[in-house]
This record gives sequence, structure tokens and C-alpha cells, in this order.
Amino acid sequence: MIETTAGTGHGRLPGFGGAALFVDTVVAFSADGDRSPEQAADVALLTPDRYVRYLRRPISEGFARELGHFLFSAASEFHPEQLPAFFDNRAGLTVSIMSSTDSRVGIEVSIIVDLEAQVAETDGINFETSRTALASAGLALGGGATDSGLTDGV
Amino acid sequence: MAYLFGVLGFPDYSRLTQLWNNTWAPPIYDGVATAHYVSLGDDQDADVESDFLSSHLPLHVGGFGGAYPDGRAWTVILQAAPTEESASELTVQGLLSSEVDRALAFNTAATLQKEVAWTRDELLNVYQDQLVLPSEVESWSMSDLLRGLLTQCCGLWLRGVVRGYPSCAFPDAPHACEGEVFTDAFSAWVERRIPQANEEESEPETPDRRIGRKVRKRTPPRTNLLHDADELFASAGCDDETDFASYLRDCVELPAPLADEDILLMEDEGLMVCVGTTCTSIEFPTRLSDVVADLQSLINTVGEAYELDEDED
Repeated sequence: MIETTAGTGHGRLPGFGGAALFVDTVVAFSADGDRSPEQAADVALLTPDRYVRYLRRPISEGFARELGHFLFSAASEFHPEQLPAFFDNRAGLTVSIMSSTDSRVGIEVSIIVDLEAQVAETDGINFETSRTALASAGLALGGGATDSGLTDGV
Repeated sequence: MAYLFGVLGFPDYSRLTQLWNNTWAPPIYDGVATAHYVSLGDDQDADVESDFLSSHLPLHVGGFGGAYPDGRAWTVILQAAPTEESASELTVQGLLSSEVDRALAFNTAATLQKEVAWTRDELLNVYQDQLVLPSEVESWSMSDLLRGLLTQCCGLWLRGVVRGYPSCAFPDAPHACEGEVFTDAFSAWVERRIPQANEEESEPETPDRRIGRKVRKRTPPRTNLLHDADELFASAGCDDETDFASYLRDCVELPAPLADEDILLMEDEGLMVCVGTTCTSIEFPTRLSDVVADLQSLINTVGEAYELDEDED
């Protein structure tokens, strides 16, 4: 069953200092080609001197919606650093909030480089962004304040 | 209108909301300077997007951003790069443009609206059009020439900035000086404290209003917060209130109806500074520059009252 969300499934979270996290949900065949297509995600990490894309990462059910909710919550919570980190086991992606002020939030993104490796090696970036940018990215991924009826990803 | 606002052609009722200066940018003396005016996507945050975009442009000098009447954001990035024998002006301009294109590839919702480029001579001509002689700014780097145009966007008078270069943006106004002309100008804009004197300069006074105006001899130094009268006197290098009253008289401009002896300092019930019979109390903690600014404001008010009286007569 291919997941659909209320958002676009494309998330771009820019930060101060030229860093960004890109998440695009895609429908992809697995590498061995003998399975039916399934939801996956292209995840990219950007800094001014580095751009790395992890393509066709398998994702859990509701990945985009959950990540969207997490980012939107981080934008709206008074102390977002107290939120439990977002973690998707299949994609090997972790997003956590490290710090916050009234207008800015410090975020850390880490991703397991090789999902098949015996010893997991991680890649990651951390950067500051604004609460406005977090909210926009969260909504684009299908997250939002469900209790206020803003949007609710499927 | 500031030169950059005019040449980039913003829609009517666009607002300026942010401005920044990259103090780490290398000084470029001979080369090409550019301005790239970019419209940001719906719901994009101008603060983050401007910083994101400029962080991918190693030669960016500064910039400014704002919002259209419908709330959508825009940003302008200023860059300067050197020309060499192997790289002509056109080549360098193309390189600066391609840097912007590459950075914009990471924000597909943003669109480039306009690009303007200048050689050094063209920038000097811009200054000449703003009534600044090229000889006055011939020692400036192109980066500083761009920053000078940026100060115009803050509402500063370019001639005043040139006169205060390199240390002070408001040489004729009492203020907490940052010690560097552009930092002084931009921080004054951010903190909404563009000194009155510079605003007056932007609309030159008529000769009549200048008659009888005392030329100010002193600018108060930048000081920390002062907690009592003794600290205040000491910060001005004065021994007592008589000395300090004299010091204040040297720091302010007096319109024709007022004279030095109209400025008094009273220490009977707290510390008060008076112009004629109108007084204002000095609240501690304060800064020396704030005391001078308050006094100048009081003088202006009293002076205007005198003028009104004269008009009625």
C-alpha cells in the first residue's frame, strides 16, 4: 500500500549558515528489483562545502507525516529540546532538537550511512533554524497541529 | 530614495525588514560588484533564507531583505570579486551570477528578479550622482563602496557617512559610537536609533535656520552605564557640576534664541538639567551620550516654543 499524506511529501528545512535538510518521499523499486515498488525517501544533507544525498532509503509507514509532526511540534513547543527525538528505524534517520530560543531552534540530523553494515557509521549535520522555517517544513511534509485542525496526514 | 532601492525597482509599498554586513568579506579594490535581487517563495522566512543563500556565496559583502505588500519575502545579496588578467570583468560578473544560480538550486521556490553589476569606475560615478566626489572615496575598497550604498538604505545621508569614514557614521550627533562607520550605521538602524542630527542632514537646512546656530565642539565618548552623578561627571572628565554644565554646553547645538547661560545643571533635588525654566531630571543608570541627547531634545523643544512665540507676535 503506497502511503499518501496531506502534505507534498517534500520537505526542505533550511538553516542559518547555509545548512539544510532535504527529505523527498518517492516511490521506488528495491535494489534487487524483484519486489513491488514501495515508499522510500531521498534524504540530503547540505552545508556550504558538502552536499550528500542518500537515495531510496526504505521508510516506515507514516514516515513523512511523523517527521512533519515532529518538525511542526519543534516549531510550536515552548521547550522543543524536551521533545523525544524523531527516529525512523528503516531509514536510519534521527532528528533531534538540541536548543531553542523564542525565535530559533538548534537541530541535529544524523543518518546511518550503510544500512547493511555490521557496525553502523553515521553521517550528520547540526544547525540553527527559525521556528517559521520549521513550521513550513513540517506542514510541507504533512505534519501540523492535529488538535487545532490545521492538517492531518494520512 | 536610496540608490539601491531605485536601481533594483521594488514594487510600491515594499518594506525593508532586515539588513546585514559581512565583515569577513575580503576588501576588493579593482573588480566587479553585483547586486542580485531575489524573490523568496510563499511562507519562506526571509531571515533564514537570506542567511542560507548568502552562506553559499563566499564573496558576499552584505545585503538587505524585506517583504512585498502581500507579505511574501525578498532579499538582495551584494557581492564583489576581483578582476585579474585571466578574468575580465564580464567573466567575473558571470562567475558571481553562476554562484547565485548554484545557491538558488537549493531553494527552487526562490526566483532571481534582477541583477545589477558595476565596475569600480561605475560605482564612483554612482557616488558622484549622490553628491560625493570620487576623490573623497578613492581609498575605499569596492566592498566598502557597496556598504556605503547599504547605509543609504538605512536612511543615512551618504555624505555624512563619507565624512565619518572610517570610524563613525554620525560625526555630528551625540551617540554611542561603535567605532567603525558601517557597524555604527547598521547597528543604529537595527536598534532604531538613527541620531536626529543625521536625519536633519538628509534634508539640508535652509540658510535661515542655520543663522545663529552654535557649532558643537565636542562629541561625548562612548561610555558604559553610569550609576550616579560622580560617575557621570568623571566620564566627561569634569570635577563638579559647574564643569559638567560647561561640558554639556559644548556638546549641544543652540538655536538663535537660546544662549549658553540658558543651560543649567541643578543638584538640589536629584540631578536636573534645565534649559531656561524647562527642566528634565537625569535618571540613573544612564550614559553620557544619553544625557547629551536628552538635553539636545529639550533644547529643540524649547527652541521650537520660542519660534512659535515669535511667529504669534
